[in-house]
Amino acid sequence: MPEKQSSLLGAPGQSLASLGAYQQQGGYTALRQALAGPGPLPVLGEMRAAGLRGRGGAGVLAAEKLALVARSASETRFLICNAYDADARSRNAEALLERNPHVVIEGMILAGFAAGIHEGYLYLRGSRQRAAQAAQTALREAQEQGLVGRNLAGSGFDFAITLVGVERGFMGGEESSVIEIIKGRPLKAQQRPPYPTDMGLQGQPTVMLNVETVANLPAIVARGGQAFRATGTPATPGTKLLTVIGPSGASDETQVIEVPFGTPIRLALRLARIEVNESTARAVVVGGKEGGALPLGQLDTPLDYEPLEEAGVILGSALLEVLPRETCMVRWAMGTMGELATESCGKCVPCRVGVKRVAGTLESIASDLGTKDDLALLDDFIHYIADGSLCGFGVSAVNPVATAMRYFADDFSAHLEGHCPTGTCLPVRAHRYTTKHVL
Amino acid sequence: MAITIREESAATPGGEPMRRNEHGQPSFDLTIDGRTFAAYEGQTILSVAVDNGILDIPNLCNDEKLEPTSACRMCLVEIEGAERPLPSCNTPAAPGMVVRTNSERLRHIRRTNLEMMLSDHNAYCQPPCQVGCPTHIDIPGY
Repeated sequence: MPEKQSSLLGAPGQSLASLGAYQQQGGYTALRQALAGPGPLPVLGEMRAAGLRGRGGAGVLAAEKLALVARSASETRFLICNAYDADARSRNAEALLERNPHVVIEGMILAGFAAGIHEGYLYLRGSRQRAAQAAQTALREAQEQGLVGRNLAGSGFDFAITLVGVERGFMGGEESSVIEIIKGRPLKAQQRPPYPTDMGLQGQPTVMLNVETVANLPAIVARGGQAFRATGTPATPGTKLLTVIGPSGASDETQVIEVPFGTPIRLALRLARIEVNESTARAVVVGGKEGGALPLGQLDTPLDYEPLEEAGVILGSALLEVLPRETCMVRWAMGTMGELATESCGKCVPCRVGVKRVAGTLESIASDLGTKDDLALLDDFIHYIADGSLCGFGVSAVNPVATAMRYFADDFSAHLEGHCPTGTCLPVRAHRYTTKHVL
Repeated sequence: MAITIREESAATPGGEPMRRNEHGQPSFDLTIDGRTFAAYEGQTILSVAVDNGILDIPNLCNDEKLEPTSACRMCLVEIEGAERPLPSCNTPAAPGMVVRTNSERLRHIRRTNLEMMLSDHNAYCQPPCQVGCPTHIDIPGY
């Protein structure tokens, strides 16, 4: 059963933004205990016992990244807390920072303590003014109380946090691009390996953790790793913040909820007071722009990394979007791929050109100019882009069209026969999409 | 760049004892297309291949005098244990690595990649060249 009370965001209507309110709920106890304890090893041990997986989409074990850096030869190490939701419609990081910024600060310092890191960056979307303000105020308050900066709580441990506000589109949140932006270099993805844990900021070991991953650390250290495993699934303990967009798409209907991992999609939507059925909805897009569309029959899929991947979608920006009943899935795929084409950083050929080609081919199909060969061509491109791309953006960029073809093949057939399955498409082209050099 | 001086330590921690090649570099073996070659620490797979006569891994953006870019994606090779092909120009060789430079999948990627480039190359390279190129290739460097 999904929890009614959110633990990461606080109770509804309650704000934990001020230091006083946060400490009243037991905030910074975990940090003080850790700093006063025998050292970082037991703290890292609890984090490993918790099995906390990164909430940024890849689902890598967070404590393993910290352990890797903890044993690196270099003494200069960095922590980057990624509070930048790639999909601009997602409000998870924003809500977390607005309502509970101190849990993020405490989490960052605990992560730093566990891994021997003394310098952290909190990287967020600059346009989210309230969240940025809340984070700044919280940092200032914590600094005044000696909880951030030098010699924290008299322990001799130093940890400095720099706030970085950035607004660079979808790619602004991509791991290697974040490092490039902090360095002041152009936004271009970088090849991994070497991974940031080996060679990141300044060529030094760098741990990058999603803001929600970090926000879970104080509770893990306070109550122990085993207690953390009480919610969620054995593979993925804990909860997940989700931004839910209803079929009307109205911004006042957008809400952030928190559910345990393993909650079926349908149940999560119900918690957001959205009942999906054939008369109101066509599909649910899971994961944001680089997620995929699932038909109503797939809504019992549990919200967890592996089940979602098997279904062809990703957790991604943790966004659930309900598409209204009359949505043509060809047009949806076309629109999404077109948007992704503009978001590509442009460095590698498969993503920069391939995604554009897919969007163009979909334009032809949506304008009733498609041929049967176009489906084989799309399939070809999907594999090429996913295999050849330099970073995760390209790899996941094919999800919208791949899920549309997998689950809504009839929509494509209808357009190939010359009509829109929902009667809503207007042609966007008069001639087939092609270029001077025809493939 | 830090200079590391080691005597007894292995090329990899806990790995086989370190061997030095004729230039004194820590060396190890890896396999490319079924053949075993010696590589030194830090050498890229493409460099190993070229040094040993495998000259047909396509590469466009690679230049030995510049930092690898890995943007053109032509040099992708399949590595055992990796889920996705990796660029040989920018992937360091590792002891015991097994690399395949030719397969149906790689041929398909290379062909489609080239078609994409030919269909859309900007080539309006007026200064500032590096800014104009969407890949941010180090054109002045060339």
